[in-house]
Amino acid sequence: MRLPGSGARVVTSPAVRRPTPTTKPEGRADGAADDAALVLAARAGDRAALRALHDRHRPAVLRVARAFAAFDEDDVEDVAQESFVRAFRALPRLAEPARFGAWLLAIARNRALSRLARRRAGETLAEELAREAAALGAEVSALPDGAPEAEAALVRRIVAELPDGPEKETVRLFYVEGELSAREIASRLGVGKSAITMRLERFRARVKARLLAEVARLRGEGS
Amino acid sequence: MHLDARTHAELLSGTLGPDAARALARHLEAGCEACEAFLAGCERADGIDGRVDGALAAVAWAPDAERPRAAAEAFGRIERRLAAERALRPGVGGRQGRLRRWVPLAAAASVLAAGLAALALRAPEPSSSAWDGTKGPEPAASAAVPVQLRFLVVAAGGAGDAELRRGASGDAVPASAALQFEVEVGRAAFVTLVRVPPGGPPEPVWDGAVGPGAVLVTLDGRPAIYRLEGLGGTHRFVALASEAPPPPGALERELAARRAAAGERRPDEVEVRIE
Repeated sequence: MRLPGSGARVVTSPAVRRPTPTTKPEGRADGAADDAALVLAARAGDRAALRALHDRHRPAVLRVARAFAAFDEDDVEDVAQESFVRAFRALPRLAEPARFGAWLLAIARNRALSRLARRRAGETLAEELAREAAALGAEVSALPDGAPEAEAALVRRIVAELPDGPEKETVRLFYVEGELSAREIASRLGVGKSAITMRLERFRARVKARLLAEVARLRGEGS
Repeated sequence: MHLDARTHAELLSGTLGPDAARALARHLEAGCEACEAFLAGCERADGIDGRVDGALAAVAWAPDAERPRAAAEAFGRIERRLAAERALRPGVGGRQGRLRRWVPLAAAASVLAAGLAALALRAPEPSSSAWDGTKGPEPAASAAVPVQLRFLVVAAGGAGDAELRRGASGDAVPASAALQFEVEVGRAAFVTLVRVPPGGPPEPVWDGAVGPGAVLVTLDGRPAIYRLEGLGGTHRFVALASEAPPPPGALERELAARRAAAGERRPDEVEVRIE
C-alpha cells in the first residue's frame, strides 16, 4: 500500500514487519495482555520480565525522544534511561499493568519536555515534570479503553489526508519511514531543527485531538 | 467549544458532563486548528499522550532493528541505577557494630558491582596505573604488604535516583551518599580498612583476606557499599595490609606513626569531606 501522493509504503499489519515476539510494539492487539503479564512478573522480581518490558518498548521510547530535534543521540539515550528508571521504580504502584506502554511513553514525553525545560527556563518546570509517574498512572487509568489497531489506522488516515508539502514530507520521514531522527531530517531537508520539531508537534497534536475526540465520544455515550 | 486547560483536564478525568463531551467530540472530529495549537503547546504529558505515541509508533514501517548489544547495554545501565537506588535506601542492612554502615549489594544488584568495577578500571588514578607495589611512599613497617585504596561515590541524584562517579581523595561527598572501596595489593594479604573521623578514635570498619590485584570490598561474599549517613566533617579511610591479621595494638601504632607524618599523601588512604 502507498499513501496517495507521498510515495511512502505503509504496512497495514505491524505483525508483518515485526515478527520477533519480544519486540512487539505498543499497539498490538495482544500487547496489553503481554505487558500485564510481564509487569506482574517483574513486580515479583523476575529480571527477564523487566528486560522484556525494556526491549519491547525501547524503540518507541527512543522515537518519542528523537522527535525533538534539539536532542542529539546522547540526549535521546538519557531520556530513554530516565524514563525506564522512573517507570521501573514506580512499577509496584501502576494500577493497570495492561497500560504499561501508554504510561511509559507518557513518562518518556515528560522526560523529554523536562530536559528541554531545564535547558530553556531553569529548574522549576523541570521539577514539576519530575513528579509525573504517579500522576500519569492515575490519568492513564481514568481513560476509557482504547483500541490500538483502530488508533494506528486513524494515524494512517490522518497522514493520508495531509496535503503534499513540507509537513507531510517531514511526517512521512519520521513517523512512517521511522528511520531518521528529527535532527537528521532537519539536516536532510536543509531546514532548521526547530522547524522540524514544530511540524512534528503540529502533526502529533492533530492525532492527539482526534484521539481525544474518541475519548469525548465515549464519555458522552457513558451518560 | 474549544479546548482549554479546564476542559482538557475534565475530559481526561471523566468529570466533563456528557452533553459537553458529545459537543467536544463533534468539534474535535471536525478538526480545529485552535484546539490543535492548544494541545501542541502543552508543556507536560497527560494520560493520553502515551496512547498517541503508541499509535504513532505503530505506523512506522522501518524495522526497530537495533544492535542487540545496544539494548543490552542500555538495560544494564538502567539496572545499575535501580540497584544503586535500592542500596542507598535508608533501612537497608540492619547490621550491628562496625558493619552497620555496610550494605551488601543484593544478588540482583550484582550488575552494580560489575558497573562499579568497570568504572574503577576505566579511570585509574594517574599514579596508580599498572601499580606494582613499588611506587609511592614506602609502607610503614607494620604494613608489610603495599596496598592502594580507591573509592567510588554512589550518590543520590534527583528524584531518588543514584549517580556513580569515581572519587578522589579530598572530595566533598554528601552524607546521603555511599562509598564503594577498592583495594589493590601486590600479593595476597590481610587488609584492614580503618575510618579515622575528625577528632575521634579510629574505627576499623572492615577486614578480610584478598588476593593479589585490585578487588572490591565485599561483605558476605558480595560487593558492598559504605553508607555515610549521619557522618560529617573530614574523614580519612586507611587501608592497612599485612601478610597475616595484625596483632593487638598494631593498627593503633601504625596510625599513630602516620599522625607524626601528617601531610604526606599516601596511596593507601583517602580523605572524604562529608557534607
